Amino acid sequence: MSTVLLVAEQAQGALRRSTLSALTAARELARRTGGAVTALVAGHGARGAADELAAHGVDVLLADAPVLERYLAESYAPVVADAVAATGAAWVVVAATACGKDLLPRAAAALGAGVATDVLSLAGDGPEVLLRRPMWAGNVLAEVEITSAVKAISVRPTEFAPAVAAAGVAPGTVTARPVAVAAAALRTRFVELQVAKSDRPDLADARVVVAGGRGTKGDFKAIEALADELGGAVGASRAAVDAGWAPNDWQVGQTGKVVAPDLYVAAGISGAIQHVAGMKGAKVIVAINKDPEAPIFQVADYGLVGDLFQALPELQARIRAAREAR
Amino acid sequence: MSPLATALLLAAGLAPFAWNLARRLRPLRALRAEQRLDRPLARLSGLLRFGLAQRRLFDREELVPGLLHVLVFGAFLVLALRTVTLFGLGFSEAFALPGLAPSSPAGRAYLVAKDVVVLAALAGALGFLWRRLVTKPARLTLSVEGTLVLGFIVALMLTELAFDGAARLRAGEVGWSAAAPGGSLAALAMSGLSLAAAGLLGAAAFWLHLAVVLAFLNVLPLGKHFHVLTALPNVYLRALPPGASALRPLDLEREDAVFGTRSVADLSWKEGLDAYACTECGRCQTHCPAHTTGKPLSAKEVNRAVRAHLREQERPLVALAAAGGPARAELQAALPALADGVVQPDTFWSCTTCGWCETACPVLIENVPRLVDLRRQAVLVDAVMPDEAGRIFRNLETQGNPWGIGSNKRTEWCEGLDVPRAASGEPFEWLFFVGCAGAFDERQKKVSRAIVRILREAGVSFAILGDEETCTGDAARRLGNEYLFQQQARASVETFGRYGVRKILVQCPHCLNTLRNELPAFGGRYEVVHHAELVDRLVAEGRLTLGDGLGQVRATYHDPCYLARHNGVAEAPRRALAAAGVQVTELPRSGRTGFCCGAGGGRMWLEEKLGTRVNRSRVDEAAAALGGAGVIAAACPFCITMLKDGVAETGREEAIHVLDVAEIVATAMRTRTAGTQTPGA
Amino acid sequence: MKILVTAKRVEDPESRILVKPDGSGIVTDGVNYKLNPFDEIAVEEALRLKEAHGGEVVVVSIGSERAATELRGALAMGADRAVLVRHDGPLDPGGAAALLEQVAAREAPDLVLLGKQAVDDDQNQTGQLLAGRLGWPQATCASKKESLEGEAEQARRPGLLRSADGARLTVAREIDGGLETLELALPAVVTVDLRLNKPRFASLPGIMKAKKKELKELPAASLGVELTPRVVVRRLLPPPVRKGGAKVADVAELFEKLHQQAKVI
Repeated sequence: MSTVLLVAEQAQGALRRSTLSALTAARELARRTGGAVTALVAGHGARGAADELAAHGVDVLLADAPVLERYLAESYAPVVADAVAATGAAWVVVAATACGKDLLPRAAAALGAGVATDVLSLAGDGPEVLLRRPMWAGNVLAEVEITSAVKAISVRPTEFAPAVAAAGVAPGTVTARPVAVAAAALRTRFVELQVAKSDRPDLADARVVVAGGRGTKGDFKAIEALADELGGAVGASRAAVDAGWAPNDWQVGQTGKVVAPDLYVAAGISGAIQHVAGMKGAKVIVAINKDPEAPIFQVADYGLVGDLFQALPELQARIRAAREAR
Repeated sequence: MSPLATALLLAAGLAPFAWNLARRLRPLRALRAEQRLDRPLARLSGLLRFGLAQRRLFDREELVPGLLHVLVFGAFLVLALRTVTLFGLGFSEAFALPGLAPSSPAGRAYLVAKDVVVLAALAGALGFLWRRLVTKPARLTLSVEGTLVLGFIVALMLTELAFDGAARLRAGEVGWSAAAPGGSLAALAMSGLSLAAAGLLGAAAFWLHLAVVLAFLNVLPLGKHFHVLTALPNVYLRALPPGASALRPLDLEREDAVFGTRSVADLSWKEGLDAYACTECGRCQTHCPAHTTGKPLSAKEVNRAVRAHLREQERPLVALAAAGGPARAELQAALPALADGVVQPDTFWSCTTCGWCETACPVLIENVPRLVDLRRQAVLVDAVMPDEAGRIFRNLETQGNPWGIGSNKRTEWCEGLDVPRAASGEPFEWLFFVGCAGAFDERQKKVSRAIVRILREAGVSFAILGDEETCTGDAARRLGNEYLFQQQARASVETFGRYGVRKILVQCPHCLNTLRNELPAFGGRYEVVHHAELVDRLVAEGRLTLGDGLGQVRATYHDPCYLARHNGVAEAPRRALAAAGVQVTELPRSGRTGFCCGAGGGRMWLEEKLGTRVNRSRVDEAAAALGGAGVIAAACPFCITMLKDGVAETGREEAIHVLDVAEIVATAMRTRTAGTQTPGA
Repeated sequence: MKILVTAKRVEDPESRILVKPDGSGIVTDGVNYKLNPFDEIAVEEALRLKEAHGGEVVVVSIGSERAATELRGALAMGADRAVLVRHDGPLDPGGAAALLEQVAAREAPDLVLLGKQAVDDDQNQTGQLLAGRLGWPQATCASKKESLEGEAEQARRPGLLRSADGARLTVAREIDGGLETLELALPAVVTVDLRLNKPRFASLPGIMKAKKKELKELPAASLGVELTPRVVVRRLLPPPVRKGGAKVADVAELFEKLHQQAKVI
């Protein structure tokens, strides 16, 4: 029986939502390979996150030590390798977040594991389970197989629904794991974290994303106003970021953020595949563009041919009127 | 009269003149060599038209100053002979120019003409003084020098008249005489004087006149009035067609190659002469799209800066002219960069290469190539350029089009149209060179498809290159990337050669210009025709009959610079529109004097951060001509983009539509049988 | 400061990328290639570090002889010399990292710079694998705090900050929701993100000089590395097409649809 080791991500003892998506993927993997999921929670003061995960019926290894206070690839990778050794896991699963992407390959190097990143879905059963991942900016979907003894994958959280703890499920065990990492030996030092200042939700977590592209000609006022009306985040196409109209962390696309909100409004965005690859997971896509032949309309649930500078304020006014009427 | 005094005066006047003249001209020897003595007949005919006949000064907008200049210029020609005569008289009272003895009929006629001219010049100079001191039009650079020179002219004319008048008084000819209108008027004015006083006054006027002539001569090389001496040579030495429409190819293979203009020494000697020939009349900036929208570009200011810089760098340049070998390279490197204070980067990046300034300049100064040469230095050597330019270059390098869209998507515009490919091996007459905009820009794809409909309707044999087509490199070249341009140009010549192409149809005037005027330097000679020209031909040959293209909608036509100004194609599009039943309401600025949309010279791809937007200015003009609503017909993808954006930015999308000539013609093909349709449908 | 920097030759994703009917690969006919844009940023950063601190920039690529084009491009930007590890056939990131480890062992750089991912297979793991193999500290997705429109960028100052004694490197990296700053003891591995710098355009004299710079070919087999991929691509598929294309006439209809039908507002 092969163990699937889920490497959780936590902050101040709280589990990251993306880990629940990764749990769903890990469980599917366990089902296809006939194994079971064990989770690793690493950090300092991370007991809460371990309990949270255990409540899903998952056995948890808790590596809790002061040296793990801050995530560093250099200190976390040996902890992952140690957990794989301890559990004899054949698979390591992480969410493809900034942290997961940073950590997984480094740990895999220590394990001699092959790595598949940004996995969108799984296919096939048994050890030869196939992993589907995007290539060429989303132009191609590849089915890959990992042939090494230990196999490591990162899964795109937007592609797997977050696991929900079933009522009455027996909680898993939480077992402490000694941490052998010596702080003095570390050659990486955390200096500071500069949190992006915004009253808006994170692009990756937002329920609504309003994004602008070349068609804004650099004027994002209408975009931001609608996003704020809906309590959403603001996104931008690569073209708008390249032109210096929008900050880099607004970029949605294959090389930027991948988002999956309930509502995605693409205004003045032509819809290059690079961009579509980053937002096609949205439940509802609205496209507003002057050019009726813009490719964005092919993926939009609702397309409006028109000027975003007129349409967005009008839509905003209607939304406000409807809310005030309620 | 006194031969000795005259000789001394001449020596005292001419020696410093010769010295100063040499000082101004010697630095030019250090500048880049350029052949400007070929085709003497073409040059002479230009000298007659633009020099002696003052063709560019008879301009509708500038008629009064133009005529004033013609008067002064004419006077100078006539009076040059008189000046020689007067100096001769200083040596001998009996002096006369051969054939112009005062007693001969020719001599008498000359004296009449001279008097008329003197009076005219006096009037002209006083008129100019009035403009400088009283009305002060904006395009003039007001300077002490200008006023001083006009003062000289007035003084010359007055002393000439006084000398003549005194001579007449002494000869007892007091009354009015039609044979000497100037002299007799002067004599009348002086009639109260005694003979002795008149004699004294005459002598004083004579010597003063000679002194002023020499003083004037000495002032000329010192400032912008060097124009008086250099303008005619400059006209003779002008760039012959296609001029600025075909930029100078750089030899990129040579070890010691110079890539554009870094220092003043990289300018050609003719570009130095250009700076001398400029008298700062400012016609170059009247309709300059950059200048009129608040960008820091004025051709006359560039001339002024270069002229001042040439003077500043006189010593190093003279040393450079004499040096050879490694010393030469060292001296050259020691010269300051022009971009560092003489011509600012914002200045040379603002030019749309529309060519207005060169069309307007009365002495044919070449403004565009020297700005492109400064871009060449910035791009090829310093690698300092607007970010957008770098992006365009990368896109062209990788995908052969400015958008960087996959080159294997080049035929998406004609999917399902079954357009013949050159590679199919079927013979074809015309190669339809679709162009990057025609292939990739959603708006322009419609024009490409309209052209295909027209070609099919008229039974024209044609083919496209498909994925093998690549950008002509116009934008790369005009943005200064000669290296990239030459790669593109060579690739195009090679591809055309492979398919035995002789006749090329284009929809973009920029493609037209490069293929027609610039590829010959790379061994590619073709008949290159714009679709508006081809439609015009097809209609004339009876191969295309058209109905009504626009119905009752009012229309105007915007001349693309690279069609009308650079390539003289202004009538064909109008005839094509007329054949489609469109009556064109002309814009105030049209034809060779059209106003740029703002996108030429690669500016299409750069952000317009300085001043106001050129396209809005042009759309405002069109809207006024159309009475607020109608169609702006154009014949260039860049113009269409800019005008369409201008229409949107000024909130006129409902009222004004921008259509290509081909779209109107294609509509007119359908309405021939189907009745009137809405524009652009 | 000696820097080893990667320069991968990739298909430009702007080209139409089609999967072969049998799913064994993509149709490369008519597809254009270029230097991986993230690697281009890495090369730029390496050059800036060299300009600030002196040293040498060695650019490395793995692949066919055609990758020499991209290496020459990096040399034209100003890199000092190039190493092309010649390898044809499939190679997974593990294999690439193993080869780079060997090159690093021979070159002994103070810093290895890589793009955070290549835009062909979009893996985002070679840098981390390499750091793991070497046991060097790593920082992925390097960015910087200053604006790309600012003065520092105008002056082409490095975004990676080396300590005065040359022993450490400070890196700001993009993470979810902010910028994290790490200090790495050198030697280290850093992968770079889009916002680190705006790469320079090669000058023509640079292009000319690049033709004469050293480009050493190194057969992959000579590096004694096991290259059998551990991640095997079994099949390529075109991406699923999202069904869309419905249009609404005006904002009123759009609002009604979103409100009543989709119930998202």
